[in-house]
Amino acid sequence: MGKEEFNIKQALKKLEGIINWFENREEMDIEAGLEKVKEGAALIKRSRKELKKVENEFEKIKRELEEEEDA
Amino acid sequence: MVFFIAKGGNRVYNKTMVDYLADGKIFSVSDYVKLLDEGLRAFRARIVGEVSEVNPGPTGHIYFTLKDEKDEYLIRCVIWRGRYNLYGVRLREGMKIIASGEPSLHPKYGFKFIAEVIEPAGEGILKKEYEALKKKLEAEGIFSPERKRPIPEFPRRVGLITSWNGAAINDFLNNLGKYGYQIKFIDSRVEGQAAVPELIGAIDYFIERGQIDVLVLIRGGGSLESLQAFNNETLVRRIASCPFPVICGIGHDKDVPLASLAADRAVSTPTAVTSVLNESWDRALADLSMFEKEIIYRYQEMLRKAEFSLEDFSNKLSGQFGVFFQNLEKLSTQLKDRLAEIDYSIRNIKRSFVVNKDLLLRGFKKWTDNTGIFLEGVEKQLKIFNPIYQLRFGYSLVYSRKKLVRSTKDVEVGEPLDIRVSDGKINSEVKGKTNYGKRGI
Repeated sequence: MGKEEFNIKQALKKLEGIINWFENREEMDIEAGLEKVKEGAALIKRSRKELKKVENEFEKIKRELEEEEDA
Repeated sequence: MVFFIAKGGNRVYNKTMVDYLADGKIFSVSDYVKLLDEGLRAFRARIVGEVSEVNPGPTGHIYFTLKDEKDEYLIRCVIWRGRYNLYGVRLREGMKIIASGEPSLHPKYGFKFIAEVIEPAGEGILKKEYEALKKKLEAEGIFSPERKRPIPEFPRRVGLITSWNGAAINDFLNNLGKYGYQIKFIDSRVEGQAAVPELIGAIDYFIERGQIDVLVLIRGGGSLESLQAFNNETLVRRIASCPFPVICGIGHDKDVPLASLAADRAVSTPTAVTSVLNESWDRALADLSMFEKEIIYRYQEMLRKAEFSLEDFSNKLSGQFGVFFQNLEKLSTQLKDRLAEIDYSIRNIKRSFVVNKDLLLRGFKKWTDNTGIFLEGVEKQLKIFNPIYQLRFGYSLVYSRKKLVRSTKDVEVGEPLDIRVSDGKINSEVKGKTNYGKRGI
């Protein structure tokens, strides 16, 4: 994860993927499992930050109403 | 003539003209007509009356006369083509309407009331029009559920149309979660028929510029009359044709505004709109906690399983080799017993040594012979349990990098192998490998 746009939707999908990975594991690969846990923790941390830190931006747009021309 | 000066806005009256009036200045006809026209603009008003003499002009503008029901007073009016089409009110003789606008004095055509807004007046008329339009649009499928688009998950760019002065915008902003929304707001009137042009202009702005995930239209509740703009045919169609999903949060009494019916999602308060927008964000937050717990739980479960299978494996191992261990134990007790016997015998011999040397020697020889036979037997049995001994039956032990090879996974193609057979060692190399899966053979 670098500076590129963080996508919360993708992060959630990845997390779901990690859970499925655990679910479908027949052999116990403890090392790989730990890697997944780390990856998941990073994703969760990043997502939380993304979800909570950002303030809303408010922009009032000035719009000219075209006036009806005389006949 | 104070109102001349009082009139504000974009037509600021030239004060020096008023000064000239007071001075008794002589005006040209055109200057005087211009002066009157400017002055008349101050009489902006809403007039209720009955329509008579409706005449569409050559350029599409509609000329009509408004009069009182009883008196003979009348006023000549015009509504520009664009506005007329916008409101969807078809003027007919005898129809009661409210016209909002300002009077003007044209240099050639004389006095006219320029109606900027027209709306039907009178009990039940609005309701009738509402029902008729609803039926028409319903038949066209404008409100059908199949046309509705889902509100996108995690919306960020929100177009907002409402009045800057209303309570709606505060309710909306106060309840909107802090999820980094980019709100593009266009201030628009929302009250009555007069709001139609601004509302449509605002929607058009977003249609032209795009760059929003969802458009939000909100206003507080009101009567059918004050919500008229949201029952305007052009506006309703415009909402239905937006390239992005539209959420309407318009309060209402009994009759749901047609704008709401055409929107992709309709709720009845501005606050409820924020719930719709926050929905996926809120859920994501909840999901995160869930995922966090789940991942930890599952990893713990994996560890537990690993621990269990280790235990299971060692149980199986000891089960398999149990017989071997049992035999060994049996042998060792037998040995111990024998040794004890030997010990006992030796002491006996020592004691009776003096008594009969020859006899004793003979007896001792016999005993030692017997013991030798027994020990030989034990030795043989032990040999059988020696893995190296097993090699004589054709089994062999394969080593790779000094480690015993138990699985195809333990070696790589091309690796050297040492094969231990009964009488020595064979040097070999892995040419290839095939895994028979879990079941082995």
